[in-house]
Amino acid sequence: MPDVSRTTRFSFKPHLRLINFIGLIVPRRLRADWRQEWEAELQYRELLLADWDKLNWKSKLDLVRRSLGAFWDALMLQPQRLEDEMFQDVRFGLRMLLKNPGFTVVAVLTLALGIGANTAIFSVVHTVLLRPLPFAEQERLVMLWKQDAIASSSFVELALPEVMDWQQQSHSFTSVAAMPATVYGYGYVLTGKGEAVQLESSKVTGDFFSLLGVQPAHGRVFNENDDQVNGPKVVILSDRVWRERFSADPNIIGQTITLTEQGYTVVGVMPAKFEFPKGVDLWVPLKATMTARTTESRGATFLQAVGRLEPGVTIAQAESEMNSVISRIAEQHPETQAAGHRVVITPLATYLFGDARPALWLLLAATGMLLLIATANIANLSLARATARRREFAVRAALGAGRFRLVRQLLSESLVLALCGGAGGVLLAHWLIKLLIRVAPNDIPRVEDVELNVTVLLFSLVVTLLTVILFGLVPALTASRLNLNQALNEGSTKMSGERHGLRARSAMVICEVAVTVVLLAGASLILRSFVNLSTVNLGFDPHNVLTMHLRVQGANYAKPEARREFFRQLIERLEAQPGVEAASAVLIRPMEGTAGWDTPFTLEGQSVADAQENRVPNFEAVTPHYFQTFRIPIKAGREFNEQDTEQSPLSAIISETMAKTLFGPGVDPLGKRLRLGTEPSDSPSWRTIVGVAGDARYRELQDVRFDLYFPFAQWPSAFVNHFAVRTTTDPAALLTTVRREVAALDSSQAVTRVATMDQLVAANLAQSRFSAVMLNWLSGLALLLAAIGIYGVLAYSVARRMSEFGIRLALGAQPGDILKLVIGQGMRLVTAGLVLGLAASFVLTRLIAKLLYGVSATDPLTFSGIALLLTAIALFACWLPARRATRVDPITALRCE
Amino acid sequence: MANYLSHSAAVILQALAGGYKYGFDIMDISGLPSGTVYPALRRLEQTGLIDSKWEKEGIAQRDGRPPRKYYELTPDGKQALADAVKRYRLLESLVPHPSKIKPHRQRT
Repeated sequence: MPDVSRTTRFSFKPHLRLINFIGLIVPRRLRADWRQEWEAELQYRELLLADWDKLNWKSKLDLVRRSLGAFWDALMLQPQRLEDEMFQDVRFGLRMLLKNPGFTVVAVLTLALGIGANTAIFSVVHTVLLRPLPFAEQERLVMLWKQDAIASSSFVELALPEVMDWQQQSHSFTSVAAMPATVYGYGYVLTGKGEAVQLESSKVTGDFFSLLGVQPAHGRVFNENDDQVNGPKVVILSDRVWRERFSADPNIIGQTITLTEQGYTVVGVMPAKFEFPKGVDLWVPLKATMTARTTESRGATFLQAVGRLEPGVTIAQAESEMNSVISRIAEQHPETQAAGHRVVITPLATYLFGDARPALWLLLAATGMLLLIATANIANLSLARATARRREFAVRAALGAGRFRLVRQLLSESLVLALCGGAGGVLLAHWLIKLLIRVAPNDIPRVEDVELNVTVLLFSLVVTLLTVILFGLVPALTASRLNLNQALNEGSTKMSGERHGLRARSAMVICEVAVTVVLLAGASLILRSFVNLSTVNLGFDPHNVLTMHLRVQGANYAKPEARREFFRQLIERLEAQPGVEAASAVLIRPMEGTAGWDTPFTLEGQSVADAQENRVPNFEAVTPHYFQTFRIPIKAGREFNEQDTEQSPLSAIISETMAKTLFGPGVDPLGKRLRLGTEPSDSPSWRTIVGVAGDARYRELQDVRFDLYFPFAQWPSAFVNHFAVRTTTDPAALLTTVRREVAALDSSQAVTRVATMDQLVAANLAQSRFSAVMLNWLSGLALLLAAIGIYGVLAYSVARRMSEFGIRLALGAQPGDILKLVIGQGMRLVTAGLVLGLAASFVLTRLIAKLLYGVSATDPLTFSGIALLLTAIALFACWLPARRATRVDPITALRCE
Repeated sequence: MANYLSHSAAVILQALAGGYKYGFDIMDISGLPSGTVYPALRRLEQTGLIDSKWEKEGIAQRDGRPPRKYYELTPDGKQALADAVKRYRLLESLVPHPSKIKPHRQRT
């Protein structure tokens, strides 16, 4: 303000000095006005009072005090300064991004893919594998049973007094509840509500629900008073039964329903998500529905236990404590012969859905790798751009832009990029989750509850944002430090100044390719083992087989003869129907789950000790046309037929592997004899082996067990759970016929859990398929990103070297030479990455060896396939920019210099 | 429009309505320090309750100082003040009406 200084005489006026000084921090746009306002005001006041020299000290002080207030005024204006300049930065950033649409699109897409895919897949993994149950603090819930080391039986059931002992004597659990090891055999027939229907029950101890920490949807759960011998007849319904059978009647609580001819009072309805144990329709108190003899006997072993660990207690700690408890109980009750028993504690989620942890780690590692590749790509792009803009930064620095200003400029550009990428990522994650829910197999727990996981989203956002900033910033900082003269003189097409950046980017491409190879290797191995699993020889033909749960019940069928007669007639009726090839009843159908009948046996001539070392076979009781129905080949001897009756000599069929293992090659198993149990007292009568059947996979796809078959007619217990029909047409279409024929025989029998064998096999493959699908999506994305990375580096390098190519062409180089030059440059990086990646995979895939089936962790075919695929994709990514290099017009290229 | 005026902002509006147009005059009449009055003036101007203008060059040149900036209520500002008066009952008595008191204009 020159006109101001004119009037102020040459005396020291602290208030004006202050204003001048404070004005420095006022945003430049406002500074002149601001200073003038304050100076005018102060000078006016000064004039009003007197000249400064004549003023008394009190007035002087007042003026200074007032001018000090200007400091606050200036401070309050600070946000405006930031707003102004940030707006400018962002506007400029946007302009720069729009000027380079190629870079922007690739960067935003990469960011979106990295963030979106990572978030979506982790969100699914989080819900499905980490928290698959609707229970509170599910990490602390475990299943307990015993195994018998001596009889090598992996599942020994518990008796109620034993569970009660555990409850009292162990300190590892806040609580232990018991329920039968299966829901089969504890069914009730509901009558009085439409047609008769069989409902499966689980008999549970009083603290079952409170232990799990579930609340009923209506009414209450059981308590200790319900769980008494001769206690009240009460029942809790599942949501499904409540809806299907009672039309979701809100007044159901307190009503009495008829279950197998007895009245039960409904006290509660559980929410829809609660289905535990699996397949249950209703829950009843254990003691109230069993006789005192059963619940007080240590010999009545039919239970398994569910426990809640004390906070902080590990499974290993609980196991060691429980084993000492068990040994103590075994000593106190020698009659239970439990000396060799050991406790088995399994996390509830693992028990219900298999051990998901390896698959979880695999998916997590894969998503991490994808994020890594995306990050490397972003870093690459940012680095390339920043290097390309060194000249621009140098110019701006020469024109007076401060280092801070340059950095802020880059930051705001990165921020704009990251925001676009982040928004894209959120959208993509949202869509991907919806898509994944649709394609995920049905029996993946809680997949419909999958929600976007905000923590992962933020994590991915921050990681990618930091990358953008870091790799955009470092070159900018170097640029602002560098010798301006040199940078400005450097031709824009020169390579020398960019050597460093190029090296860093080449290293990044190598790493990217290497990580992609590892990811591809893992994914292909998992895919191959899934394919192996899905094409595994099941031992039976699953097509055109309709199966269902059908277990005859009621007073009419108390005797085995009645049950046998029912099935004999049903099979006869059904096999007379068109479209039916064969029909059969079976104890437990294949692929029903890992539960089944384990039956120790003794071969004729074996001592008790020898017999105890026999591998325990899976036991099935079947009706005559069983092997026909499932098309299990008979390798030797004969199938069971109508002549295998109660009166005829006892017969058995064993599986091929069992025959080979027991008798060795060259020995004919036919005619050899065996009996159930290992003690002579278990079962006195010997059975003759009349046939050898092909191995069939009953409990899991991965394993061949020993199979032991008895004719239904010769099995004293004479009950079966399942019924199967082989059809000549679509098996599902035959269901009405089956229902009609069952009803014609006895309308009070219920056909439930209908499934074709194809469906059951698919359900067993679900988890494996899920992992395979997820991993292959991830590795596909990784491949795409790696290709983009290779393309990015080469395209950039080609653009920089255009004039060089021009000179080469002018000097007589053929387009082919240029092509070779560029592709060679790219493929050198790819080859380095490939070698590195294959070496890393060789080490890393061993970690997933346990998840593989039928393929080695270092399968040479898989590895070479990946190498080929990657090379092909990389060649394409190299060819695109190389082609551009050959099309350069020498004149134009040289003129650009 | 600002629905709630701080008491000091209301006082400043009242002072402006009373004809005290300059920052320092507002300080004098309201007793508020400059560190409060000026930031408040900027905010009120930003929200459109007051307008600022520069004094005529001629007056400033005669006195040998830069032109002063003065503030005026906008229609919105008048409305806001009317609302504020309903809330702060004592507002009118805090800032005396210009007819009752003369700004000290003694020149020594």
